[in-house]
Amino acid sequence: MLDLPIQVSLFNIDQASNVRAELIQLTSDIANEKIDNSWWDAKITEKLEGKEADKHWNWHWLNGVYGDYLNWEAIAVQSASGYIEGAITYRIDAKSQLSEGQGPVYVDRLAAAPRNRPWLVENPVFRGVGSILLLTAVRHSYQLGLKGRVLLDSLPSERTRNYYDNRGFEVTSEKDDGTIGYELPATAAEKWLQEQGEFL
Amino acid sequence: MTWKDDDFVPVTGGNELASDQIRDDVALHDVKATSDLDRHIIRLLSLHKQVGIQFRNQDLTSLDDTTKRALLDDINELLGIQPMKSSNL
Repeated sequence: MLDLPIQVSLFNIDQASNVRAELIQLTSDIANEKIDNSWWDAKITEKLEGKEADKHWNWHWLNGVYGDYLNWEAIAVQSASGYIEGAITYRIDAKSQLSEGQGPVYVDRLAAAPRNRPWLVENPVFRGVGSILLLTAVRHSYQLGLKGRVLLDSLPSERTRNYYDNRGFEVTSEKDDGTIGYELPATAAEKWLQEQGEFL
Repeated sequence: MTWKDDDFVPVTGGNELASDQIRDDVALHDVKATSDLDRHIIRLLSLHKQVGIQFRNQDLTSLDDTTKRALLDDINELLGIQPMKSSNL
């Protein structure tokens, strides 16, 4: 059961140590105040912002529309300072592309805060934000009897390919708009959960 | 948790899932839950119809939390869901 808030550790790059943070429910108010009106400050140049697929995402609107639906989930990582370091939304009623008749969770959006992206800032604050959120989706998928399967669409960059390949995702489709569909199969999901010591 | 050098997630998603990729046997968008426990059980029963049929006479509003947790244990066992640590991330 997803029993938020959940205590997690984030790796603070400057301190070279793990610090405490929380997984919390991403509400519309939090999305509005701490993502839409906070993430894209003046420190991130306009030139770089334009290359980011999520620059114009409206997390507040998204949560206003889907926030109460039981087939959706929205989670954020909040550090001790109260800053939202990353967020994920997913739905739990998708169809698997690898296992016919089975269900995965589908990652609708996943992003770390711009200050945690090394391709945007010289000195990112935290490392591993997205992995915690992704692992949370895997864990929730498992707890929902979906075997940890996770489905998502992402841009066809080398960074994306490496990131998801390294975590056991398999390519399921290449779409007309260039995005690539990935799915984490049950075997890889359970292996990841085992490696992380998630089971009792 | 051990982090890899590539441990910076790329921005992912933003595309609406095609309607033919959404299960039509799961109706959760207009269902309300009054607690996290209820939310979880309702989701399980909706995602796994065979379990829902087996427990179809269970009205969550008439059960106390202890009974709901016992029901959840039964559902988990039926679905082969192993118990997990409360937080290990």
